[in-house]
Amino acid sequence: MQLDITLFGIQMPTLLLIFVMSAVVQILLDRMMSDAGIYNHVWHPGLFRTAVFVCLFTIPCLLIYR
Amino acid sequence: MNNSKRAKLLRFSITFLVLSLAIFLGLMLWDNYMNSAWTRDGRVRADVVMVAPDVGGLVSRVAVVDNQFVKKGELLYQIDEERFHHALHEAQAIAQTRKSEYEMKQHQSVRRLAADDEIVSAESRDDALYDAQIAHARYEEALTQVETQKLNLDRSSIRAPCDGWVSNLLLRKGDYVDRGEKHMALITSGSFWIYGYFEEHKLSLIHIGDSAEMKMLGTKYTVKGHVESIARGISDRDNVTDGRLLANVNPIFTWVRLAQRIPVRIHIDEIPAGLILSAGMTCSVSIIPTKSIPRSALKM
Repeated sequence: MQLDITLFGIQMPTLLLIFVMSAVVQILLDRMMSDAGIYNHVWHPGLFRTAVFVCLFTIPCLLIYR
Repeated sequence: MNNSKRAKLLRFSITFLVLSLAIFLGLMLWDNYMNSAWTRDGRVRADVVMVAPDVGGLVSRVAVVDNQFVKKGELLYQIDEERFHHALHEAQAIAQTRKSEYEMKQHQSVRRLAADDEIVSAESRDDALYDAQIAHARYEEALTQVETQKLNLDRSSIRAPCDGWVSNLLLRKGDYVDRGEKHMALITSGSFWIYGYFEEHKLSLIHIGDSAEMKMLGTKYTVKGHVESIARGISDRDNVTDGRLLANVNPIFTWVRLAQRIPVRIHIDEIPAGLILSAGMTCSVSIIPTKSIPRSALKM
C-alpha cells in the first residue's frame, strides 16, 4: 500500500484519508448500534465508542505500516 | 439479583475487551509508524559535470540545445579559433627559425672541430660545441611551444567529458568565456542516485545493503534500489564559527529537540518503464530490512 496520497500536487499521509473514512464509518456504525440498543448493554458507552473508533482507524492503518 | 450481576459483568467485559483491543492496536500502529525506516524526504540526485573551457575566448558556436543528450566527445561549443591558428603559426615560425639556428651552430661546430689547433683556439671550439647544444635545446623548446599551441587550438572546441544531458543552457554565441569559468552543466547519464534524509534515531534500523523502495511523488511508479552508504557527517547548525574563529553557539530551547536528518545514499537498481527520472524529484523512501532488528535498539 502507498504511504502517501497526492491531491493537487500536495503529498499527504494516507492516514489522513483513512481517518476521515473511518470517521464516516463510525458515524454510520454509531447510528446502527444506538438503534439496535447496544449502548444499553455496555459499560461507559462513551469509552466504548472511542475504543471502537480507534479500532476502525488502526486496522486499515496497520495494513499500510506493516 | 444474580441476573443483574451477570448483566453488569457482561456490560463491563464488552467495554473492557474493545478497549484493550483498541489500546493494543494503537500501540502497534505507533510502533510501526515511528520505528520503521521510512521517510517522505527523499530526493533524486545525479552527478553534474560543470564544463569549463581550458582556454578563454569568444564563443563562436554553441553546438547543442537545451536538454540535449550528448555522447562523450561530442562538440558542446566552439571558442573562436582564429587567435589559436595565429599562435600556432607563430610557434611554427619560431620553431623553423630555431631549427635553422641549430643547423647553423651545428655546422659551425663541426667545422671548427675539424680545423687545426693553429687556426682555431680550443676555447672557440668548445664555445661552438656549447652553442650548438644551446641551439638544439632552444629548438626543442620551440617544438614544445608548437605542441602547446596545437593543444590550445584543440581545446578551443569544448567537448562532452561523458555521456549526459546538457542542462539549463544559458551560453549563447558571442559570449566571452574565461579560462576555467563554468558555463555549462552536464548531467551524467546513468549517475542517478537517491538521497533519503532519515531522522537520526532511525539510522540504527538501516544497514548497508538493505533493499529500498522509492515512491515517486504523485505517481504510481516505484523505483527499487538498495542502501549504498550512510553519510558520516552533517554540519552542526547550532555552531557556526564566527569571523574571529570563536564558537557561535545558538541558544536553543532544550525541551523540544528536533531530530537531525542524515542523508542515506541509495543506489538505484530498477527504474520502471515509462518513468523519466530527473535530478531533484521528490520521493518517499522505505527501507526493507534484510536482517531482523533487535527490538532493544528501538525506543518508543
